[in-house]
Amino acid sequence: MSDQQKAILKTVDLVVKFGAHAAVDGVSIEIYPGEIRALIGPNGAGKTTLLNAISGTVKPSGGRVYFHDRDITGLSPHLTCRRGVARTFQIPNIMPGLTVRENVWLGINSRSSLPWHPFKEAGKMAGVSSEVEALCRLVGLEDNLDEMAANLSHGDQKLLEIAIAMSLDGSLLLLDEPTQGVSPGEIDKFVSVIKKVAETKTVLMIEHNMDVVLGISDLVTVLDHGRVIAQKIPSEIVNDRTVRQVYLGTL
Amino acid sequence: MLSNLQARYIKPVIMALALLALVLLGLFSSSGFLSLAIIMIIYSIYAVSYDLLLGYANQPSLGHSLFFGLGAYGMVLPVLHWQWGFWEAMGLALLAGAVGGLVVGFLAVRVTEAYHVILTALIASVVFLLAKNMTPLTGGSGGLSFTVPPIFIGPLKLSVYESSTSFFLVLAFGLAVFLFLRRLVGTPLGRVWVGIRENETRMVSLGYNVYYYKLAAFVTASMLTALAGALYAIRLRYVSAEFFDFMWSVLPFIWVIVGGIGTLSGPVLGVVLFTVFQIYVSDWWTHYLIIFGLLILAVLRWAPQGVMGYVNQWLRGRELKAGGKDVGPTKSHIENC
Repeated sequence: MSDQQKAILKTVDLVVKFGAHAAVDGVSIEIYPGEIRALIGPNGAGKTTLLNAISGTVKPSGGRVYFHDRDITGLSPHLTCRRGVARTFQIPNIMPGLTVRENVWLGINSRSSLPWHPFKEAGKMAGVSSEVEALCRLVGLEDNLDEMAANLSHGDQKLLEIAIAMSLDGSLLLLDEPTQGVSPGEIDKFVSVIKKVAETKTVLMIEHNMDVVLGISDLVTVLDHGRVIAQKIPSEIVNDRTVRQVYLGTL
Repeated sequence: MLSNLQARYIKPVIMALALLALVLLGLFSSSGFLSLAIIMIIYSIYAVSYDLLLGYANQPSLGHSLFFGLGAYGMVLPVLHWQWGFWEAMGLALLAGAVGGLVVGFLAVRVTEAYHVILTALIASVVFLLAKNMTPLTGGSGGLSFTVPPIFIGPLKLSVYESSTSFFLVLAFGLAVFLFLRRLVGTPLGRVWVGIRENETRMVSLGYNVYYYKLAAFVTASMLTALAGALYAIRLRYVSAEFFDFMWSVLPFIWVIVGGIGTLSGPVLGVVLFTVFQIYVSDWWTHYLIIFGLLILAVLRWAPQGVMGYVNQWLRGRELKAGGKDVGPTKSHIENC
């Protein structure tokens, strides 16, 4: 992470308050292009709130968010998404009654110049179906294209979420616990998917599985009580005393 | 046993046969039967456009009588006061529905579920009261009678006072609306509506400004509801403040729920079932609505997707038996129509 390189995402003294309680309390982080950044910390540390404040799902009470040097603080989620911030959710957030293909289609369609086209037939749009298939292949769902999303296993639904987020073509991907609730046997699949995703995108992910964190992240930011208490490369983070105390110590 | 191919063509074949039956009906049937068919087609226009809103864009409006009445008055008033021709008045009726939809939708689309129900019902009730009391303009509950102007289509001059002409005119409108909506739900716009119904928050974080999409559905449905209102006024040669009555907001809801929410043929089926029921059962028992209420409960309990949802599931089962690929208990909601 050289100093000359421009940060793709920068938060400056970001604060999110729920009443008197500051869930995010003055967080300043910088993420650089191509990076996989892991965000860890105990429950209630403010990780998801930080992600929500970046993507616009909650309005920050103070501080700023810059994306590609442009101020996106407090923009609505659909606008941050159009700027290029794509995200997934902790609990699979998909269109359950639609097929895998239609789910991914909705993501691709959203970045078209006329996503509300009232005359074209959606099923016959040029280039789209091959793109859908490519994205599903990326996450390993190429055999489930016409399956209803509701019928997928939990792990596959989380993979579908990643495919949908990838279809948005944003430059930054926010992953909220991509391996949460995923069986140990499937973890390797997720690791390789996230690695593949990171070839084209910058990734900021909340993750509890330390094997995943230590295995693929470039830098680890540790959050506790809404504050950044440490930021180190994975090999150093395990030896950090404060981190061991608040986080790893509880394992 | 049906083969896979046959199962897939059941619905188109049924629809084609129904259309053929309707045309034969128009040519040879008695005028009494025709007038029943006309009413059913007008109701169907109302039902499918309402389902676009409820079943596709997930907005449970309970104030659509407002647009039904607006369409009717939009048709009647200019003919009555300014001697407008048929098409001009029809245009104004559609415009009235669209503008009304824009104004109400501007507020109502911002709220969902129960709040949407309450707000739309409230607005429609206020308009109903106003219409009742503004007798000089609306004729109040007594209403206004009017003479339907002749209809010019190119060199043709048609009169709705001829019952088969009236029937084919309404049938043409009905088909146009059905085909228009069938096409619309297959476009990107239609799919985004279904996406919003399935998961609104996800659609927001996919970069969709759901407000405008929902408003578009609201306005489209209001405009087509106004068309139904105008046709109904033409059919009766009469309009009154009662067109704004709450009953006209509840009826489309019932048609859609019974027939099959989120489909286009379902609401039509709902109209036919309800209307036939209304005519034949009300003959032998005045309180027939009690039976219908129980039937609605039964539908909600055993076929929550309505009669057409049940049929779709049955067809799906047939396809599977015939060796089709199992892609889940039901087809994707986009494909059911």
